[in-house]
Amino acid sequence: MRVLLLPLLFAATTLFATDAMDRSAGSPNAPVTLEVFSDFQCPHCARLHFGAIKEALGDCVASGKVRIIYRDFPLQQHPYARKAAQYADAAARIGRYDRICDALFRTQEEWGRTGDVEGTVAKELTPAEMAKVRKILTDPKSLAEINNEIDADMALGYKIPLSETPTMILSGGGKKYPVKGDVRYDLLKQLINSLPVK
Amino acid sequence: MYRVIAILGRLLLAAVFLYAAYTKLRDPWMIFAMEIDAMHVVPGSSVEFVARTMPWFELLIGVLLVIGILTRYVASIATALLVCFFSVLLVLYLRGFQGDCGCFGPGEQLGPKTLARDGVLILLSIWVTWEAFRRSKQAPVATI
Repeated sequence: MRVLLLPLLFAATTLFATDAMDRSAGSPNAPVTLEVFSDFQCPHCARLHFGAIKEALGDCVASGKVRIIYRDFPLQQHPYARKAAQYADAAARIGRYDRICDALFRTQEEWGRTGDVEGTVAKELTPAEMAKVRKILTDPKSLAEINNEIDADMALGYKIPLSETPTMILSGGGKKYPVKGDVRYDLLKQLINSLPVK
Repeated sequence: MYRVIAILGRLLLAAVFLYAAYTKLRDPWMIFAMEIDAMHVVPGSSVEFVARTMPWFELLIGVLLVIGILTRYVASIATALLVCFFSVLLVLYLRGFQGDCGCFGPGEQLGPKTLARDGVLILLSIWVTWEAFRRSKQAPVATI
């Protein structure tokens, strides 16, 4: 029984969990990729996160058709967006990206007012996990790595060029489409299904 | 000479409609549907219908303007459509909407430039319409 359960558990982990380092969810072999450029302080990004993205995670990501890659695009007009991205990326390194992502989007109005990103993150993690996150963010080398990741995501966004958040880049079957705003999942799903992938 | 300018004006208006149709029809209809949906000006249940039919309607207007048949009616419809688009975009702009205008496919953010261009297109369309009516009055009437 255990022999049967272990591969199943592994498969489920691969399909549903967010990858700790590269902030992605779903099978790396998925024929369709959805890159989500978002800003933790942007209300439309929060709506997209709890709407179409959550529905996609439970549907086409779970079925192995789509892989979601989360990209940071903190906007200049949001003073704490970059700090939030740093905490989320640090949480990704300890395998808690999903949880912190949810918390930051859910409480964006509160920490967006006070700037207390750390307090928001601390409420979601165990003291041991929070200590790890703090260690990552106080270590100049790992902080520089995180900042480089954010800068690389932003450079990618500017190259598209990205004019607003959230913006998703849907690619598969040799096609690539930009999808802007907090779109409805039924429309997004029809677009995904229209891609010429097996 | 004036006649040539009038024809060029009609062809320019046709080109705008044909290009608008092309930029929407080259991508799956869902892209345009999501742009319309983001504006929250069309009921959710009608978004798909509008996204699927609007590009074909624009194509039809463009083709009829190129051919030059029923120009009075086609140009009037084009003007009404442009005024409708302009009004919606103006309201969205005043509301602070920052998404795509959905005019010529994805990638054009709604801004003063979009509104200025649409304003010029309305003037062009009004002139083409007026010219079509003027010419129809001047045209010789067949007598038995």
